[in-house]
Amino acid sequence: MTDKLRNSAPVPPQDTTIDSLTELVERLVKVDLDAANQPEQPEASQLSAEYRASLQALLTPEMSSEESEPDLHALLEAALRSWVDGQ
Amino acid sequence: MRFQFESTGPGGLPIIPVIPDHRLLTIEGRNGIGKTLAARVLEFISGEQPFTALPNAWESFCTDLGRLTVTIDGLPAGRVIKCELDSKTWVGRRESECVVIPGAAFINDETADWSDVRRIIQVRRIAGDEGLTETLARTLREASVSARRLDQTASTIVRRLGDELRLLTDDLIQVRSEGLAEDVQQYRSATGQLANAQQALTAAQEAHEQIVTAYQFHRAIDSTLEKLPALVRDYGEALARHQSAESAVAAADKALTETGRQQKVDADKARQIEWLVGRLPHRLRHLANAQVAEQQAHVRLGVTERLSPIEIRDRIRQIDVMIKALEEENRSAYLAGTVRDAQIAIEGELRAMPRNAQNERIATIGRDIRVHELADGISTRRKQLEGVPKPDEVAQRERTILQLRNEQMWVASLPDIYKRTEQKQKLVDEGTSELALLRGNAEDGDALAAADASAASARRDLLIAAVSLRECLAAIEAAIGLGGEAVEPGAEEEPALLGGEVDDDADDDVDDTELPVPRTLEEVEATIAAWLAGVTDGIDKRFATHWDGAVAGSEPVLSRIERCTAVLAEVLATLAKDREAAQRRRDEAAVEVSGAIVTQRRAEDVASTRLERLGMALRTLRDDGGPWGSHLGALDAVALKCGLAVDSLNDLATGELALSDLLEEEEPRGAAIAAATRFVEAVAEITAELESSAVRVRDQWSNAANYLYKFSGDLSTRLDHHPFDERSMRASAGKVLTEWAESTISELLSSPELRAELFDNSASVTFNISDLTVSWIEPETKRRRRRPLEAFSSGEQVFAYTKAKLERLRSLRSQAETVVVFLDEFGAFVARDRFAQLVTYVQHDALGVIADQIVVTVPLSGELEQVRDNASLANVEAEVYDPPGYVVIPANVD
Repeated sequence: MTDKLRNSAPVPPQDTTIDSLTELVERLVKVDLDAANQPEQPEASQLSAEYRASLQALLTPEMSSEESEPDLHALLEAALRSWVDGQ
Repeated sequence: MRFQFESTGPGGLPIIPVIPDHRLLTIEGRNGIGKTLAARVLEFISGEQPFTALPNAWESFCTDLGRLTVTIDGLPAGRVIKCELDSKTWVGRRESECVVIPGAAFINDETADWSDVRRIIQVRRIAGDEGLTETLARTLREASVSARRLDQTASTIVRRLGDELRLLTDDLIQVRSEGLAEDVQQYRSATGQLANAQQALTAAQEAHEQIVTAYQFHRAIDSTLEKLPALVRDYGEALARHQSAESAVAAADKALTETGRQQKVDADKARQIEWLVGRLPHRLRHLANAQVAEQQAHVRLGVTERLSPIEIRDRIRQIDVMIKALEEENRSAYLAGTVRDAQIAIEGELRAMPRNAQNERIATIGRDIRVHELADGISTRRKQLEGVPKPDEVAQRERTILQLRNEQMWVASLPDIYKRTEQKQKLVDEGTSELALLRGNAEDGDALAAADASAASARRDLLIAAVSLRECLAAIEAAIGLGGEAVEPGAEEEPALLGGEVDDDADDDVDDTELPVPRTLEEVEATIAAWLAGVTDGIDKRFATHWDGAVAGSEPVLSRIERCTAVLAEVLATLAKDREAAQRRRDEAAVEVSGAIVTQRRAEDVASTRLERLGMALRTLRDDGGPWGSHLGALDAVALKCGLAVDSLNDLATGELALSDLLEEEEPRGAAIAAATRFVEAVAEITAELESSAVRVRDQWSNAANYLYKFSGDLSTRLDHHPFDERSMRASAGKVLTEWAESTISELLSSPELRAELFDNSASVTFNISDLTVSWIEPETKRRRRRPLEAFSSGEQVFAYTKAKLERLRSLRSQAETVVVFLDEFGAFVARDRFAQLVTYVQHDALGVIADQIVVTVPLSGELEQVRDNASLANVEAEVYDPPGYVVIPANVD
């Protein structure tokens, strides 16, 4: 699903700053997720960590271009499947 | 190279018009004439983005630059480049987009690709007023601007995602597992409590009715006992009158017989006279009966004289109007009864519909309602209403209506009663006239007629006395004939003739029997005594012994009646108290039912709402053509994980979710409904998580942008600074950001040029963000050196840093045929004693090696002519451009 979505959106021109910032945001998202998944955080989602990682990795580069837009239905299908797999 | 700048439209930012073709030159000019702008325009043409860290400056550049033509000549091979720019076309766009094709490009007046232009010439600007700290700050600010732009893009995507997801989940988000079990249990409990309360009310009503019936029974007996003494007395008097009349008849008959014996008539007349003499008493008796019946009807209706046909019709109509008014009042005062009547009618119609019509939709209330559902719903509510007690005033009006209907029936029967009386009168009159005629023809007819008239008169008196006697007896029998049964309002007897004889209007020839022998007073008292004994079984058991004692004995019946009356007074007092207590219990039970109905209805509403929402959500999720139609397979898997089989899911989605499914704890559909609720909730949560994941990414872009903006502003106060939304970040996120900033700055400081110029050719340079210090290892001594960042702002360090920046441009020579470098605003921060050293360095080490042309710009140090004259003293021919006010001083580098 990830590859499909990546291929469906034109890859925007990247430079080293964007790449570096993207890595930074990926790390920030992971830190935020790790904090949210603490046992004392009841709102933590039941979606699998793999799904979260793929979603975050998917959204970050695509959002660097206004012309590209995530495929909602593919994301939704993946979320449903991920939830089932994670149960 | 010679650069010429020409505004071709109105307005435009100030910009120096010409940069002459000298390999090394200094431009000394006034502030604000566009020296720096010229350098930035040339950078922009070269494909650089000089405003990345300066979004406000970029906005001003777009809005105010206007139309500008830049001409570059003096290039190798005599080529001339012309660039036509129009900044209006950049408004609202990003610098990175506009820089790709900023306008029209020409080489030797031929349209050219911008890439060709950029292969011919590259221009860079090194800001002399930008030290190491400012460079680091600008780099971080550029990163902040990029992160901010991505944050905005992410926000747009998240908004769109949110809008689309809301369309998907509008029907799902109100379905909640939380509280479902409690709500179902509450509904079951409330329904059970209502049933119990209704049973208790029914029992209380029955108990109350029993006591009321008992009271009425005893009250009726009491009423009878009250009337009996007078009735017995009346009977005695009527009996005496009857005996007197009998004596008079006997005397008249005897006189008539004697007279008859002396009369001579022919045989035929004799037979007719005999028949009429025998028949007339019966006709008289029937007439008397009819008259009594008519009188009795008048008494019942409260009239003293006959009513005309018009009066009868009017009275019937009046009673109709009164009945309708009372019925209308009752319908308003007892809504439960009114609604129930309508329910019974509607439910009857619905149940009577054909079987295949039961599943048809008959109404739409929020959703489609089917025939059988409506019938079931009405039935359920009708049963609830059965527990609503009828107000006393309504019951009273119902009794009045029954009485009015009875009265109406009596009024309607009046014409028949009148007709009957008239028929009987006619028979009597005819018989009398015929007898007179027959006897008038006989000898001594007058004497016989007189005797006969006397006998007839006596007999009529006897008949009247007999009727009166019978009425008295009938009154007694009617009184004791209650037999202890309750007198129902309106349950009065039908109008009938007194005497009980067969009506002989149709056949006047039928013989009649003799009048019955009247009962003696003793016989009547014995009947009453027997009745007193007979009602003993109906007397309240608590007083049975008392009653038996009052009834027993051989005293006259009137004495026993007196004792019985005393006992009944006690019984009635006790029963009145019992009745009040039963009424209280009934009212309390009714209140319980009312409360239970409210509770049950509330719980039913909650359960019903849950089912309605669940049904809507399931239909949305299972709709092939709906928003979830392409995810049915994945939804099946989610349902299974929630304990809901696909068959059950489809069954619930296509069928009806009935409240009855929730009433039984072991009901399989109840368990399926709970699982379906979890399923819908899980789908909604998964969908919400999708949005929150996107929001999380967006927020981190925002965090990064905010942090870098703030940190770059802290490093250099010369950068734009605007208040921004400092969102709270987790401590761990802050650590990631500071580590990234440290790493990025360390990487910048570790460039070979900076390491060579500033850090003793150390292998690596480390930046510590906590105290803003730079540290490195001196290769020769292996000593660790550490200096605060601000230490690199000294003149010596700025000079060294400028050299490093020039060194970094060395690679440009491989990308373009010609490289031009602007050393902008030098002299402001480079120490004066280092400026000549810098020029020497540029002349000997940079010119021709790093750049083909170097333009140094400095602020105007005096008057324009003075600057020019000073240059001529050094044998340099300076050029003055005034306006706008600058001097070009070429350096002799040959």
